[in-house]
Amino acid sequence: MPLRFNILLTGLIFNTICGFAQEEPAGPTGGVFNAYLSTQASVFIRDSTIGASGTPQYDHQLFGSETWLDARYTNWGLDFGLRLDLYQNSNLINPQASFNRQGIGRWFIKKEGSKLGFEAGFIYDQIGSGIIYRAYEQRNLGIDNALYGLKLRYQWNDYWHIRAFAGKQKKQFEEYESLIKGLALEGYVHGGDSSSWSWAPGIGFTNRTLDDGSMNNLLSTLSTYQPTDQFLPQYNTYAFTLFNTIQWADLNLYIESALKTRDVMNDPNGQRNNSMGEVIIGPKFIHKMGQVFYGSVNYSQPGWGISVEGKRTRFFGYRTRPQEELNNGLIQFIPPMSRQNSYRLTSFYQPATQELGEQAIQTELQVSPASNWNLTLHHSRINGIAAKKLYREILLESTWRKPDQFTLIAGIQHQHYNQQVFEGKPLAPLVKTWIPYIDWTRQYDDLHAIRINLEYMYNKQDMGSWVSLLLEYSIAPQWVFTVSDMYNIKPVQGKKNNYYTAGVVYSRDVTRAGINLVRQRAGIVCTGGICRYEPAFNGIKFNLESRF
Amino acid sequence: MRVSVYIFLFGILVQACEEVPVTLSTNTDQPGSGYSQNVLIEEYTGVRCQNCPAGAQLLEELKRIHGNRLVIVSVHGGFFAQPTNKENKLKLDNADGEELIRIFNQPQGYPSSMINRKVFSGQSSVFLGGGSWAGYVDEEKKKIPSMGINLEIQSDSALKTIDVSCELNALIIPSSNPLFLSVVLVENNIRDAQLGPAGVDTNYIHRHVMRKFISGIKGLKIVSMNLNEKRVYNFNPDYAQDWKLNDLVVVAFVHYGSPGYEVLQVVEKRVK
Repeated sequence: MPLRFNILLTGLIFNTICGFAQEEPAGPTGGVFNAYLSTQASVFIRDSTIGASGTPQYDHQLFGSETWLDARYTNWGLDFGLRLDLYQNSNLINPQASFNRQGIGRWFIKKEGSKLGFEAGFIYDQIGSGIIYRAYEQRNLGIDNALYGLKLRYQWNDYWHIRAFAGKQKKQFEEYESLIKGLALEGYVHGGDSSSWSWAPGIGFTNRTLDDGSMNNLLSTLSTYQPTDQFLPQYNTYAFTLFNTIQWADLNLYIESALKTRDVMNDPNGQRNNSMGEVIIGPKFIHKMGQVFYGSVNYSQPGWGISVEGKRTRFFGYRTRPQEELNNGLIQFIPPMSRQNSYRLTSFYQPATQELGEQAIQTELQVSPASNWNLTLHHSRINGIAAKKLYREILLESTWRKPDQFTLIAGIQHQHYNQQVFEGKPLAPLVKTWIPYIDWTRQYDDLHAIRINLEYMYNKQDMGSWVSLLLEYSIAPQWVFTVSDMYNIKPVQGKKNNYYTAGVVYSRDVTRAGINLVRQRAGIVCTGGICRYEPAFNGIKFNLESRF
Repeated sequence: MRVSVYIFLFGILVQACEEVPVTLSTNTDQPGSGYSQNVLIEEYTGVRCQNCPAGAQLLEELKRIHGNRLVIVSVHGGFFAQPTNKENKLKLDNADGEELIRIFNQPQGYPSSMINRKVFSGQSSVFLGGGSWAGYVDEEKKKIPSMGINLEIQSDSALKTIDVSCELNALIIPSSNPLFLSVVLVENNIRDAQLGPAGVDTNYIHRHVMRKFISGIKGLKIVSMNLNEKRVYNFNPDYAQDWKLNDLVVVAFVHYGSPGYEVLQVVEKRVK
């Protein structure tokens, strides 16, 4: 990769400077350079009582880290980016294994600001809300599916632009062999300076061409199926989307409709017969057309606001190759339909987006009865195929603020969570939780504040009932001291355990460093509906973030 | 007029999107030569893995298709193997399984398999989910064999010992990288509890259970061989009291050394 990178970089710099830089003069004082460093290091201390054992990190490696150094340089009307990624004994890519690689995780050259712009290298982008295409990075989930290729962008006028891209999806320090191409036309129309309406329409198209290796593998697999389950896949899959954002006074409406031609998907709970007539339940390739309809409405008035989101998904697993599983090789991003809760117990159970079938709606109402008092009422309802109940959430939260004195947040959340579907646990009963919580921040003066967060989860299923307490003392703007504990006060199975943390964060100028003693349970971590198994952790975590 | 042009262009586009249909592979064995290229599939499994019975069914289906040319070794180990279900009476995981996990790490999900211990093009891990097994087995089977292996086995049920004679035959000039020979004892038809989609099945029949690497987990280093040279290695392992001789199978495979341990050839033979 370094050699290939050097050749590409040299060629691209030469060509682009000759071809594009003539349009804009070089900056009189040279370019602008900035960099962002993010590192997280862990000391692993074996603790088999919580399952923090049996991986190379606990058995013999003892230390692991992930570091990203993102450098950017702007000059001659061009942006250059280079990111160094270092994984040492990392369990980020595979929670049960150790990943050791380092190298150029991303590079790009970008030209914007003229009629025709371009971006070459590892490109992040999305069409609409990402349903037919989203190339993005989510470090805490180990996702980095940048497109390694070229993107061209043509700006017709102030309101309309078109962009086209082609390349291969990144996989750590390599790329998948399948090819991805796309096109998006986006515009903006409004009724004039005095008008209260605007319309931002868009249309998008993507195509994935399977590589021969993936196709041959697929054909070999399909040839082992019984004739009733066999089908002939295609190399090419096409996806189309139509999306609109309409703003009218205080109303905001977003609608997107996406369609995907017949594509091969892996149904992890598929059923088929083997040659002996036995039923096999497990991974099975299916060949279906896919569709997603997604919409959201937001309306706000002084003192209150409401938002409603809805989604219907049918067979929209869209990956760079159908053999990929979990969070690997995702081309699409289907918006989640649950609240992004941040407290430890209210975010204990989070629903993962179901790409094969989902029907969901969520509503959030916010009311301010007084200037320092806000009320939030949230409801999520997610069903699977054949109206199977997957997730329900009702949350009521009250926030009372007295400026420069305190903020008091109190709420209660009730959830139904289908563990069979979201975590693949057959026979697991529907998890039903009640979680009252309180979060109180007392500000003593401009510098000193104390925060107390207390939560209780009532749960008769899965891991039982929990209590969580967090104490935080901050000396602005530099120090934050935290101690917390989560305790399974009434476990359904297993033993009672304390999952504690104690740590300090120091911030100065553009640098933030933190060190924490952590004892953390294993669980599912989700961001934006994309989830990952997070193994139990016991040890010390160190974080450093800085800008240059 | 303009509309008809658009319709015409759309028609061309639709035509352009049509592909020549693919055809499904057929299972054809290479005729002729004395040795065929066989494939080793090492499945990671555990008695608390509810999806593993489905994985085992998938493996049996592949075994029916490929016969002796597919050799299965099921490694019980990792977080789905311990702790066992309370209904389990036997211990199917062992120190060799733990050592394999130390060498190859643990897969992200169970069941997962290594196929010839190879990281295939487009994959970043040696472990593969069930959806990929058939394809890669087929791909590996199509290779020209570089090594032939013949197994001769004799057993003594009174002394609980087995004599294994393993004859290697270099079919092409071996590479300069050192080769290793691993010999494994595998047991079929072990009845013990297994978690499945419908709960714990106390009468589950475990197959291809890895019992012991009799050559050592990293294999025995093969002294460099010339083209068509034959060499014999002998092993004389004992076996545990509760292992049933009639269900024991010897698996022998030739592979490279660290770090990949990629497998070149494999054979299996029942002890009795």
